Amino acid sequence: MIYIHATGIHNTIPTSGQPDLRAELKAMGADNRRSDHFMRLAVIGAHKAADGHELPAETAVYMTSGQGNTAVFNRICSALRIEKNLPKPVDFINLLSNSTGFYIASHLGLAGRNIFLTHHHFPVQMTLLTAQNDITQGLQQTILAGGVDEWQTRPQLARKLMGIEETTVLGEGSNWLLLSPERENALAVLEVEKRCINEEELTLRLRAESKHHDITIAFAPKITKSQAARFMNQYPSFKRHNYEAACAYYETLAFYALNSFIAAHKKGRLLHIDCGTNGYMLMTVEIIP
Amino acid sequence: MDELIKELKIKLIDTLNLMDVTPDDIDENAQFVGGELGIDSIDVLEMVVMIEKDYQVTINNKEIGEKVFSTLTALAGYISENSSRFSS
Repeated sequence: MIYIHATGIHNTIPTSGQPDLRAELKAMGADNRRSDHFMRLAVIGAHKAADGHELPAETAVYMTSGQGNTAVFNRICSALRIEKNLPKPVDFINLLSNSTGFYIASHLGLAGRNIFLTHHHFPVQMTLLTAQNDITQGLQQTILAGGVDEWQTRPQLARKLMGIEETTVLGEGSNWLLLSPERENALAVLEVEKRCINEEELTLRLRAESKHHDITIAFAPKITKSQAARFMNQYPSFKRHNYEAACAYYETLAFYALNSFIAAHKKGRLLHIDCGTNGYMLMTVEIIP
Repeated sequence: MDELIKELKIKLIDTLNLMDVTPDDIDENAQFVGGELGIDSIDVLEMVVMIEKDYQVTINNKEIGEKVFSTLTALAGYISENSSRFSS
């Protein structure tokens, strides 16, 4: 169990290519001629979570992404394989996942642990689980944890790689949480389930949750509409967090689901349900009134 | 040579993504690395790759590099001496 002290939400549904973020970044005093769209996106979200907070220099940055910095990866592949040229050195540097973390840390003046985590099914849950473990064990006192995914410039290919329907609208987002073991001044409590659970365990868990008041459920995009409807019918006292109405698909949407719930509620408890090949993964957020 | 310097100024801005800098802002005789433009070693690496790609001129040792990247004029001089594009 760890505490959420701030949220940073940057969530957009681009209509014609990746939006230009430079003006916004410039206003934050964070424009950097070597950063690219993915990095700008990351810095904007992290800045929003850190804004108004005096972060200790040893604050850690734990970042994840479903797709990563695909634009720079595509440019490097194109230079090497198609143009048969050397890639631009800055592109090569920026290809390292942690370069983005470096730009965030530089902008916020942080010198703590800086890691980029990735996971095939649960990038958000695994990042928050790592943060939860490190805070619980006293290894970290403050962690800025976030998920970043840019709008894909080759949407059809991206949909195929992500295993989603051809009609799914793609979005982009950079959503961050400021985490610590301190309850004082916290917005909410976060708990990430340590393992995947099966259908039976999920039923028991939902039954137990139904004894609480003011329960809201958020379903990850992998939960089908019929599954979601079935859960909601079984537990009519649960409300649904319809975060999907304000966003399009990207792989770290779970961060947006949690952040948008905290931003919109002064009390209540959110249960986020995701699924993978090994079962269901749960996260709960309880607002501190 | 003047044309090449003009061309290099545009390529410099484009390659290094120098924000809010115009070709007129660049003094071709000013110190290139560590000068007002904020050019550093990573930028020099970018320029080496660009020069090899666009002019087929290789800068592959430190001594030549230090001489060539002292000013934009020196860079233009080295390219015009070594590129087949200017060898007629």
